[in-house]
Amino acid sequence: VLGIPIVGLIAGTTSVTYYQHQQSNLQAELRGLRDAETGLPTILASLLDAETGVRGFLLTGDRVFLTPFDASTRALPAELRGLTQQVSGNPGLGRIADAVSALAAPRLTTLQRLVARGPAETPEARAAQQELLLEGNDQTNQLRRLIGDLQDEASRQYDEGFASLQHVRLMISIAFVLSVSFGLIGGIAAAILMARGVVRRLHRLEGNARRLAAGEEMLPLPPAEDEIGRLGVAFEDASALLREREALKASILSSIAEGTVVTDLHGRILSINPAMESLAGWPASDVLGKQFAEVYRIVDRDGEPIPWERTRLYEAIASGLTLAPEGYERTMVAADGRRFPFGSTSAPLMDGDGRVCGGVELVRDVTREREIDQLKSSLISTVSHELRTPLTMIQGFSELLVTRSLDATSEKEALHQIRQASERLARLIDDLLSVARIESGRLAVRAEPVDIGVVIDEVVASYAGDRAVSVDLDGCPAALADRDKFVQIITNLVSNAVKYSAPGIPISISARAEGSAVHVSVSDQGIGMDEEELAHLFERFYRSERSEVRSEAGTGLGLYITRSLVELQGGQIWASSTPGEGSTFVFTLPAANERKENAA
Amino acid sequence: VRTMLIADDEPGIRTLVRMTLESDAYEILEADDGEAALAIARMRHPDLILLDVSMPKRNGFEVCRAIKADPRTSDIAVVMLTARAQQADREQGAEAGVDDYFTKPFSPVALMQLVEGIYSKQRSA
Repeated sequence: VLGIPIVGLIAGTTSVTYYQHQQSNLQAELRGLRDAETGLPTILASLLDAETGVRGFLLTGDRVFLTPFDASTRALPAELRGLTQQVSGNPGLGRIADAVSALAAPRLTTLQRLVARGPAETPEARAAQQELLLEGNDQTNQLRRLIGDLQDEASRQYDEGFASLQHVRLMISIAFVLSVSFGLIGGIAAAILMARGVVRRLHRLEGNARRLAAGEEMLPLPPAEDEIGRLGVAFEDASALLREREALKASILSSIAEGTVVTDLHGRILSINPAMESLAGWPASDVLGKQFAEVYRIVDRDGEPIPWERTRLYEAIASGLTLAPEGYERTMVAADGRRFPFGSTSAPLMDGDGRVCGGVELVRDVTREREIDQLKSSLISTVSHELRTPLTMIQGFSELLVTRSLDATSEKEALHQIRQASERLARLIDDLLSVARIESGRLAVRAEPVDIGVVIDEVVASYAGDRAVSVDLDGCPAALADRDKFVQIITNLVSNAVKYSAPGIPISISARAEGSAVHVSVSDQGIGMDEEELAHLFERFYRSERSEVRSEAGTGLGLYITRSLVELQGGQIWASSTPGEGSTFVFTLPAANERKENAA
Repeated sequence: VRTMLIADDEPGIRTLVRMTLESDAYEILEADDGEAALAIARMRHPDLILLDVSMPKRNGFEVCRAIKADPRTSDIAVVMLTARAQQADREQGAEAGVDDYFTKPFSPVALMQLVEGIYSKQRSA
C-alpha cells in the first residue's frame, strides 16, 4: 500500500530532474546563441572600421587612419575563433560562421595588401586600388549578408530554443503537479486502505466484545502483532476464563438434585437446571425469558391458582429473605398436566453490592413425603382408634365390676371381656412394633435351613386347637429361612384359617418343591373373600367390612406383616379364594439345598 | 318399657352397653352394621339409638342422616358412640343431626346418666 505514493513520488522526481537537466542544457544553448548574436556585429564593425581606416590612409597617406585597422587586424582572428567556438556543435550556425570566417580572413588579407601598397600615385595603381576596394565592398556586403543570415539563424534558433524551454518548463510543472498528485492520491489511498483494514479489524473486535458480553461464541480473528491483535488475544483470554467459570456454574447448577429456577427481579426466568426440566417437564429452551408464574403454575390446597404476587419466590425477592419449605399443601402443574406436591426454598439473589437482583427457587417433589405424612396421620388416627376400642372395654367392664354388684355370669363375662381386650392391646402393640421394625428396615434376617414339617407341627399344636389339620409335605426339602419369621408366617396364616372358618371344618397345609423354591400353602373351607377383599388383603390396616370379619378380633396388620416377612426372605405370597367356599394362601421361600449347591 | 338400639361392629362394645343399661325398664336391640341398624330403626322405632361411626356397609353418620331425613324415624334420639374424637368428626356428627356425641373410652355410669337424661327429656316433651 505504501508503494503507491512512493512510486508516484519517484516517477515525479525523476521526470522533474530529467526536464530540469534539459532546461539547463537549453538555457546554456540559448546563452551561446545570444552571445553569438551579440558577437557578430562586433566582427562586422571591426572589419568596417578597418576598411574605413584603410580608405582614409589610402586617400591621405596618413598612417593615423590605420589605428582602427591595426586594432581590427589584431582582434579579428580572436573574435573569429571565439565565434567558431561559440557555434561549435551547432551545425546550422557553424556553417554560416565558417562562411563568415572564410570571407572575413581574405577581406582582411585584401586590406593588408592595400595597406602594403600604400597610397596610389599612378592611375593604374589607382584603378587597381579602386578594383580592390570595390572587391572589398562586395566582400563586405557579402559578409554583412552572411552575418545577417547568421543573426537570423541564431535568432530563429533562439526562438526555437526558447519555445523548447517554455515547453520543458511546462513539462516540469506538469511533472511536478503529477508527482505531487500521485503522492497525495497514493498517500490518501494508502491511508484509506490501511484505515479500512484497521476499521474492519476493530469492527470484528467490537463484534467479539459484544458476543462476549452476550455470552456467545466469539469469531476467530486473524493473528496480528499490533495493538488490535493483542486486544483480540486479551478478549479471547477473557472469553476462555468466562467460559470456564460459566461451565463451572452450569455444572454446579446441573449437579443440584433439586429443581432450580433462577429469575430476575420481575420473575423472568434466567436459568433452570436439568432437575427442574425433568421435574416440571419443560425444557430450558421453552421457559427462558418467560415469567416464572406463567410457566410454573402453582395451586393451593383447594386447587386455586396462586398468582405471582403470592408466591414465596416473590416474597423472597421482595423481602430479601430466604424462605424455608413448609408443608405439603401446594402443588405444581407439570407440562403434561400432572400435579405434584412440592416443597421449595425461595431465596433472593444478591449482586456484588448486596442488592437483590433476582431470585432462586429450589423445587423438590414431595409426593413421597406427603404420602408418608398422610400415612403417618392415618396411622395415628387408625392406631388411636384401634387402641380406644379395647381400652373402652377394659375401662367400661372394670368400672361395672367396681360400681355394680353383678351376678356371677355377668361378672365372668366382664372379666373375660377385659382379658380379651388386654390380649388385643398386647397383640396390637406387638404388630405395631413389627410394622415399625419392618418399615425402618431394621428387621434382620438370619437365614438357615428350616425343616418345614417341624415348624408346621409346632404351630398346629399351639394354634389349631382341636381343628383337624392335614399336612402334606411330599418329601419337600428344607427352606432357607429365618426360623422365627417362618414360624410367625405359618402362625398368622393358620390362625386366620381357624378364625375365618367354622369350628370343626378341617384345614390343610401342603409344601412342595418348585424349581429352586419351596411353595407352602394353607387352605381353609371358611367364609372366603370377594375380589375387592383379595385386592386389598395385604395392605396395612386393611380389614374387610363384613361383619363376619369384624366380629373377629384383628388389627388389620397380620397379613401386611406376613407379606413383609415373606418378601424380606426373598419369597412371594398370594391368595386365591371363592366367597363362601374358602381361601388358599400360598407363599414361597428359597429351597435350602439350592443354596448349598450354589455355595459348593 | 323403653326401646334402645346399640349399633356397633364390636361385639365387646355391644356387650358392655347391654350390661350397663340392661334392666326391666329397657329393651335393648343390637345391630352389627349400618344397614342392620337402619332396618331395625325403621322396623322397631326405638326411643334411642347408640351409633358407632366406623361400621361395615354404612357408617354411623350416614345412618344418622337417613334416620333424621325419614319423617317416620326423625324423632328417634341418636347418640354417636365412637372412638373418633376429633373436632372434625364432631362437626360431621352435628351436620348429620346427632342429638349427642359420646366418645370411647366411656364411663358406663356417665352413659347411663346420659341415656336417662334423654328419656326424661322425651317424657317431659
